[in-house]
Formats: sequence, C-alpha cells, structure tokens
Amino acid sequence: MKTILFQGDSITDGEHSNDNPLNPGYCYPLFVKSYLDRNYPEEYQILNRAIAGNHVVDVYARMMRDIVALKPDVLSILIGVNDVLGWLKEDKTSPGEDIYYRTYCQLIEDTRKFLPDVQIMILEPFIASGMPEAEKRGSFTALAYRYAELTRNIAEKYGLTYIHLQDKFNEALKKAPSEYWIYDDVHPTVEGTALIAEAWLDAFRKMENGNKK
Amino acid sequence: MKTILFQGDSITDSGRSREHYYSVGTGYSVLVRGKLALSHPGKYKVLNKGISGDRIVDLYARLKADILNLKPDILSILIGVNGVGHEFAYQNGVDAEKFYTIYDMLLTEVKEALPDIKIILLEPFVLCGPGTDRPWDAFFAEVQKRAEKVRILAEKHGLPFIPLQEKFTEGAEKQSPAYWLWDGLHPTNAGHELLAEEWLKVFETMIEKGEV
Repeated sequence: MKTILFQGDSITDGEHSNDNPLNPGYCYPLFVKSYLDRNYPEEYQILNRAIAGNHVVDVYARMMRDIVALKPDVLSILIGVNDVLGWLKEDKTSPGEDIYYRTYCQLIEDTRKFLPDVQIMILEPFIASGMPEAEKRGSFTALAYRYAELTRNIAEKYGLTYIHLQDKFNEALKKAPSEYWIYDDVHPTVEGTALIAEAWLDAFRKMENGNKK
Repeated sequence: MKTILFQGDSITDSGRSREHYYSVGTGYSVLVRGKLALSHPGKYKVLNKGISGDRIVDLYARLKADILNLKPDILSILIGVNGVGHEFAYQNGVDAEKFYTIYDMLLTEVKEALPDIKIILLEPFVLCGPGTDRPWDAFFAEVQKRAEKVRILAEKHGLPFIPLQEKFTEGAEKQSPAYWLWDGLHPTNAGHELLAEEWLKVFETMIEKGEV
C-alpha cells in the first residue's frame, strides 16, 4: 500500500483529524481519498497533516515529525498563500520571497535526503483574481502571481510534478462567478475544492502511469 | 441556480458544521456537490440538512424549518436505519408501518407545499458490523422492511428510487463490510463515494430528461 501525504495550510487542512482516517478534512484530500478508496481499494493510504495558517517556514519546521516520520511514497504540497498575505500586512508576518524560495528548496532537498524515493507533487498557490476585494489590493494579485512563479521554478529545478491551479481557476471563473469557486479571495468552496482534486488526480494518474512504464 | 437539499440522518449529516456554511463534513452530499460543480458549473446550489440520529418522525418534525422554508427545487431523502437501531438500543424505534405512514405524510405535504419539487428517495442500507449485530439477521430483516416501504412510496408518488443495499452487499463480498460501512451503518470515504456515484447516475438521467 502506498502512502500519500498532503501538506499545506488551511486550503488543505479542512479541519481534518490526525487520528480518524475517515476524516481527511472536507477539502481536496477528501475528494482524492474518496475517489481512490472507491476505485482502487486498499492500494493507497491517505494522510493529511496540513495546518491552517502555515507558511513555508512552518512546514519546514514540522518536516521531521509531519513528513519524514510518516515515510510517504507520495508527498503533495500546497503552500504559499499565507506567505503572500503575511508580506502584505503592515507588521510583515511572513519573511518575503527570497526566504520563501530558499526555504521551499531546503524543504525539498532535506525531504529527499531522508526519503530518497519519495515522489513530490507541488500545487500552485492561487487566488481568486477578478474578485472585487482582491482587485482593490492590486499588489495582492501581482504578488500572488509572483509566488506562483517562484513555486513553478522550484518544481522545475527539482523535476517535480507541478499542478497548475491559477489558470484552472481563471478558466472556471468564465463559467461561474468567483464566489462560487472561492469564498474569500483565497479559500476554495466545495466547488473550488473539486477543481483542485480534479487537477490533482489528473497529475497523479500521469505520475502513476509513468511509474508503471 | 437550482437548489438541491439533502435530508436524512447521520449518514447524510456526516460531520457538517451547524455554524459554518463552508465546513461541510465528509459525506456523499459534499462529493455530489463537487462532482456537479465540475460537470454542471454554476447550475446547482447544494444544501445539507441531515441530522445525526434522526428517525422518520424527527425528520417529519423538521419538515417546515428544514425542508419547506428552504424551498428546494430538488429534495433527496435517505432515512430509515435509526428507526431500527433505536429500537434495539433504546426501545425508541419506529416500526415499519409507522415508518411508511409518516414518510407518506411527509412526501404528500412536501408536494402540496412545493408542487414543482423533484424528490429522490434513497434506499436505506446496512451491512454486518458492530452497529448492526444485535443480532445481524434480525436487524437486517427490519431494515429490509423499511427499504421495501421506501420502494413502495417511490412508486406511489412517482419518484425516482436509488437502490443501494445490493451495491453495498456486492462491495462487502469483494473487500469487507467495514471497508464500505465502518460499523455496519455509517459509510467510509469509499462508501460515500459509492453513494455519490449511484445518486449521480439517477440525477444525470433526470438532467437528460430536462426534469432538473
């Protein structure tokens, strides 16, 4: 049985339980777990250790306990939006893009040092661009796109599976209003969560097919 | 946007928050909601008002506040097992005849108040597990009586009926009962996905016919 571990912030957390495997949170890990359990019985174990409010430095701080000790075969990470939001606060509660990039790289390198065979999937941090509140804060959209670019660069640098989400949300906005997908600039609704799960499963299938070849 | 309302007991409730609209729990209604967003974006608003522990009489008591006042276009109901379980556990169940009578009243009153509503009835289901082994044969026989009543009600009112017992029985033979219903009553994530799949099969045919 392969272990898939989800790491990240509130978008992944979804009030999951670490003790009750039937509650992987109401976010995209739930959609992924329900689908895989139904269609591939007993092939995958899903763990969620995301914590709401986390920045990349927080995930790095939790690395030994919440990644390495769990020995995942697949590690899925969605982080970054709190780094963006924190940098825009007056008291700057996040350390800025240089440290974001450096710490994220360190997280990948150190994880691989302890788990050489782990397959890592990186999800793009995204926002509800086009939402009036986000638009008012023009710097928010620009900065979020900048962090997405950095994240993409990290995935390329290490040859990791990268899941594009901003384009996917921008496309979805043409079909239904932003509040249908994302309710407060950053948090997906159930509907937005389904978009993430769809993109994740597409990427995962490709990765698994590649593994079999 | 059309409103779909899910009603029922703990199987439907599945840990949803009473305070936060976005804290939705882990059940089949959430999975349905996600799948509909992908296949029919912006077309449906999905509500869940299932309450853990509810028997048909409890749902009937909530008819005004939790069904009629919400004016759903589509109402999905899954109820029945607590009428059996609460009899075995607390001698506070609802027998099969009374289940039928109250369920019939509920459906009649919903249709009177909301003549255009589409109602979908789900078959109550169980597998052998710690929650149903009281003993299992007796429990199962009682649940089957309720399942039969729901089937008759669906026919009487001309409503779509979603069979589920057979699907879970098949699954239990391949894996184990607990793989699909962890205590014989409550679905696991795999069980909820199966439920969502069966629900959507029926709903998609209703979409094709232009009913919803």
